[in-house]
Parts: sequence; C-alpha cells; structure tokens
Amino acid sequence: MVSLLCNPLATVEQLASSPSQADGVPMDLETSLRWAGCTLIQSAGILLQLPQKTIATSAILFQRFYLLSSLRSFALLDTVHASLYLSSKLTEHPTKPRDIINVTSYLLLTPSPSPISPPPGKTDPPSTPESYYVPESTYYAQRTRLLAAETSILKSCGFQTHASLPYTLCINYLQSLSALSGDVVRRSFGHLTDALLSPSLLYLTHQPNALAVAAAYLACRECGVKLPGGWWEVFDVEREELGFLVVGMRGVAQFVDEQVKVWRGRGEGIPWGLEEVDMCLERRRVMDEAMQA
Amino acid sequence: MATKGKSRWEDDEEDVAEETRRKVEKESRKKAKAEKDRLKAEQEAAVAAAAAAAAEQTAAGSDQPPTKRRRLDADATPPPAGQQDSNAPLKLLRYTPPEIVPCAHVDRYEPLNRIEEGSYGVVSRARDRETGEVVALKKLKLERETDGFPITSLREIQTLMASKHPNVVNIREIVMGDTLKDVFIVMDFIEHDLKILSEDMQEPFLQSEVKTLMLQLVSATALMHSQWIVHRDLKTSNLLMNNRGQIKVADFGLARYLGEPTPPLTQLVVTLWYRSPELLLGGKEYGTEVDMWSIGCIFGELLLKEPLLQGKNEVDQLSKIFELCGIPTEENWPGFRKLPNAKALNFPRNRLTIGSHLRARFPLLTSSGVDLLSRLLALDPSQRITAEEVLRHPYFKEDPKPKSAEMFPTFPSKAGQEKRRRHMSPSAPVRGDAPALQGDFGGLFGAQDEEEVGAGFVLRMGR
Repeated sequence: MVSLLCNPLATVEQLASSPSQADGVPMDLETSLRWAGCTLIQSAGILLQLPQKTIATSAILFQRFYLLSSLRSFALLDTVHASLYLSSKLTEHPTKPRDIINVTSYLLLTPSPSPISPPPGKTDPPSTPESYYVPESTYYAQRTRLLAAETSILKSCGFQTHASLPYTLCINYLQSLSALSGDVVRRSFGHLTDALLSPSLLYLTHQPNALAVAAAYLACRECGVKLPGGWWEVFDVEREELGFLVVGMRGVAQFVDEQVKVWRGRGEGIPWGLEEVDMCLERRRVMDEAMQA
Repeated sequence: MATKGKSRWEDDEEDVAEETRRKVEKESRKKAKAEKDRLKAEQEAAVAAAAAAAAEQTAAGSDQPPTKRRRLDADATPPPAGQQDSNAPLKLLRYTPPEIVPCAHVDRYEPLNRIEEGSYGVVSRARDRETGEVVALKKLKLERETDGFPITSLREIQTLMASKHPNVVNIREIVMGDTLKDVFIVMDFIEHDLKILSEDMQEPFLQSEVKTLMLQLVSATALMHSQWIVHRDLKTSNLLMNNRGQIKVADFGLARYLGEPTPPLTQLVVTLWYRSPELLLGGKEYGTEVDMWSIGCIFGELLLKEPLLQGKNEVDQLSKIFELCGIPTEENWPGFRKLPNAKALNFPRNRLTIGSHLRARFPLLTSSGVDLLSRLLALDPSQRITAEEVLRHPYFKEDPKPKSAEMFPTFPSKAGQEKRRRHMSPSAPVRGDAPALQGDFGGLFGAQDEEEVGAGFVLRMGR
C-alpha cells in the first residue's frame, strides 16, 4: 500500500467533478484559491523553518483535501493551518498551532517577498509588530478551527496521509546519469517545488518518479548537460508523460505572475474565510449582471 | 593427406598455388560458416533476451505494486528492446495507484463484543454488514486530546499501513463515527494471542514450532526495519496467532519512523520485561536494535513457556538482565559508561557475574540455538544481530527443521476466547517523561559486595 515510488492519485472522475465547482465556485476562482493556499503554505513553511519535505507534504494534503471537499464548506485559511500542522506531525517536525497562526498572520498583513503578501508601499509606515499581532481571542478561534480542519483532512483522505516525494529520487536519477552537480540539483528542486503550485495538480496526477524525471530533464536542458537519448524510459516514464510534465512545470512561473496580477489588480483581498468567499461570489454575480445589462 | 605427405618433396609451383587456393577457399568457407553460426546464435540470444525482458517487464507491471527489490531488478537490466529495435514499444513499470477515498462510517460494521481495553483504546469484534466477515475494531482514545489528532495515533496508522506483510496484522481501513472524535482502525480479526495460547498449553512449543514462529516474527520485523520503522513494543501478547499456524505482529501504538540522523526519541518505550539494557540505562539514541532485544526475550519465552526476564521495576529488570547475560564491561560493551543511568553503576566483579549464563538456563537448546539467543541478547546494541542476519542463522537450518505452518495444531476456539483475559504482565509504558532511575541505584550495586557469595547475583532496591 505504501511505497517509496507510489502515491495515491486522483481519479479522472474526481478531477472532472470538483465539489467546489458543484457548490458554485467558478473554476478560475478555485484554481486561484488553490494557488493562494499552496503559496501561503510554502511561504509560512519557510518562515517556520520547516524542511521542504514537511512543506511539500502539507501542500499535497491541502490539494487532496480540496479534491474531495468544497471551498465553501471549509475555509481556505483553516485548511492551510491544518495541513501545515498535520504534515509537521507526520514528518516528525512538530510545530505549535500558535507559531503557524502567528506566521500566516504576519505574511498576510505585512509586505514580504512572498507573492501572497500585500505589496510594499501600500502600508507606508514600516510595519510594526502591532500591525500583525494576533489577539488572544482570534488565536483561540483560529486554533479551534485548525483542529477541526485537521480531522476533516484526515477523514476526507481516509487517513491516506502518506506522500512520497520526488526530491530524493531526483538526486538518485541525476547520480545514475552522472549529471549530479550543484547547479542541476538546485534547478531540479526548484522545478519540483514550483510543480506544487501547478494548476494541473501535478502531484495528484503523476507519480514521484515521473515528476523527478521531468524536473531533471528541465534542469539538465537549462544547464546544458547532455543526456543519452530516451533516458527517461529507464526510469519508467513515457515520452508523452514527460512532455506533459515539462510543459506543466515550465508554465508555473507564468501562472504565478498572472495570479499575482489578478489579486493585486482587484484591490479586494484573497477570500481566506468562508464569508469572504461568499462575498466574492456575490460581487462576481453583481458584476456579471451589470455586464449583461 | 598421405599423398600430400609423399609429394611434399616433389611439389612444383602449380601444386603449391593449387594448395594455397584450396586452403584459402576452405578458410573462407569456414569463416563464412562461423559467421553464419555466430549470427544465428546472436539472433537467438537476442530473441531470448527480449523474451526474458518482456516477461520480466510484464511481471513487474502486473497489478500488484511490486516490491522495492523487484523494482531494482527491472532497473538494472538495460532496456534490451531499445538496442535491437528502437521502434519496438517499451513496456514500462506501471503501478495501479491507490485512490483517495474518504473514511466510511462505522455503521458499516455491526458490533459484536469487546475483546480488550487498554490505555490506548478499546478493541472490539464486529461484523462487516456487507461481506459478513468478522473484523477487529480498535477505537482510538481521542477525548482528552487538546493538541488535535495525537501524533502517536498518526504514527500507529502510518506505520501499520506501511507494514504490509503476511505476518503483520492486516489493516483494512479507518472508519469514523458521528463526531470527529470517533476514529476506528479496522483490522482482520485474529483468534488468539501467543501469550494466552502458551499459558493454556501443557507443554512448551516444540523446537520445530519455535523455529517457525521465530522465522515469521523475524521476517515481519525485517520488513519493518527495512522501511525504517521500529515497533518498540514487541512482546508475546502483541503477537496474534490464527488457526493456520501464522502469527501476526499487532499493536503499533508505539511504533514510529526512524530517520537519519536519528531524531530525539523517548526511552519510555517497550514493556519492561522486553526492554533492552540501553533503554533501561537511559540511552537517548537507539534504533532497531531495541526490537531485536525484545525478539530475544520472546525466543526465550517460547522455549521456557514463561517470560524470560520478569523484573519488578527498572532496576530489578537491569539486574535480571545482567544476571543472565553477565555484567557489561568496557570490553563487551565499549562506551556503556557514557549512558545517563550507567555512570554510578558499581558492579561486583567475580566469576559469577562475568559472562553469560544462557547455556545453563537453556540446557536443552543446541549450541547454534544458544548462539542465536546470545546474539539477540547482546548487551551492546551495536553487536546485536539484525533481523536480516537472524533469517540466515544456522539454527534454522539444522534439525529439527522448522515445522510448516499448515502442520501446526489448531487451538480450540473457546466461547470466551473473544474476550481476552487480562494479562499477568506489565503493559507498555504510557506517554510521559522517562523516569530517571532512583539515586540509590549505584549504592545498591555497591552493597552487593557485602552479600553472601554463592547466592548468585541478587540485587535489591530500596529496602
């Protein structure tokens, strides 16, 4: 059941029928919110000094959860908190709920290098600790929701929390191709981490060996490292699958740029809570009606 | 070639030319034939190799997720099809990935009766309403949890899911009740546990039976260790046994993944009687060796029909260990003095305390059996035998051979067997801080010198 090379994957039916879209969330908004959640996980994970193993597991749990649950039933922010908390336990780097909540509050309220943070200049005076301080009552409310969301995640994936990651496989593959160098590894890992944000849910549709091969392929191309023809077949990846993944991984940078523009241009914030999602949908409905009129 | 020999001295140029021509011709014919043979052989070999490769690929690509070993084999063979004919379609290793399925409701199972209640949760018998199969339901205790889903239960589920083996109890699924606090692990129901079974038996297990049980236990342990899982509570009451002579390792409540480098671990693991000396001495870094010590204790227990080392407390447990295996010295366990609880130890050094007494305790065991036991019960964890090594140990090759599991006696399925009796043995430690051994520990060992010589190695504590 659990293997180093095998992850539970989404079925075609699951990918075709999104519970969020059935609940009235348009596809582009769902894609955008999934991106926002994963970006917050990645940024918060870095500030919490969690290893990438924990961060990637967290992003995968997050994506698995919204494969089977609606964004209108489970708030984005609570799921982000809970998947970080759960993955920190699963990968033996336990983190306190308080630390997670403090860090996400900081990221969402002050300018930072993260694409999820408000752009600099908007808050003209330099941010002070008070500007991202979490009041105790807010903390307790968020913590309670975090713990409930944690069990919901476990329930929705049937406790299939195992997530095999492609990072170490990628090192092995590069080593066996005698293409191991710091630069190639850095770029491969970059592509693997990018792929966590992909709108095509690459980690829910492809096994780690294919992801590792695609990242190694791209990195070697970028660094001008020549590899023997058809080498990906040795690692059980078809040319077609490789091609799909390469396009998917290369598209992430552009996708992220678009998302950042989308949210910065709108002025309204990302709907992290359930009420905000409802408000966002209502605004869209009004806009659509105005367009039609 | 007699004519040739006769005519050798009379040869004229024509003859020589003729001879050479013929020779060349023959040579070239020979060459051509050899070439043809070679080509033919090559072709045959290629066909055979392709067929073998295809067979291997199909085997590797079958429905069952292949094991790690098989996967390596498939990798090691270069793709032969690609060398012969680059257009031939290549069969790649394919898995049928598990699906992401939400938990079912516990209503799927009809409750029958309770089996056991422990500090970790309640185990009961239930019947699958669809298939009619009887299963064991373990309800996790989550009511008191304030930090969300307990990490220990997460570990239990993760490690149990990762340990698919014929001798590990099969986990079917996780189901939930009406609230988020009701979580049940659904496992196969196994009739007996080895502890109760051996208590009910008139005679201990036969040597051949002990060998089979040990091989089953050790092969399950070898799988766990290869997956970086350490069980940390191996004991006879956690070994379930069905009526087909198979044992199943159960209760992964203390199991966890190890890492490299080893993460900080608690010493408060393993039921006292099966706990290794490095844990008792407070070692902060330990590994899969603690399971091997427990297996040594189980081996002894199967042979004796009673627990091997029944200490009353940590100190007594240590003294029982040293009584049986001899006291640790810098020679047999380099560096043991550095362990937190070993600094103040003061051992009586005499003929009775040095060296192992295993031979005397097991007079009927063959010498290779004693060798295996002494390697399992090696004080120094770095010298302790590993699970893989046990499987290759000569003890299992010599007569009597391991009895085949099908030949095991079946045991009566008593009406009361579903409700397991309370064990007369200590239970696994519960969460909390590891106790430091009491301060007068060293003094007790020191006082040993005053006791009468000849009474063996008796340690007393706090009297």
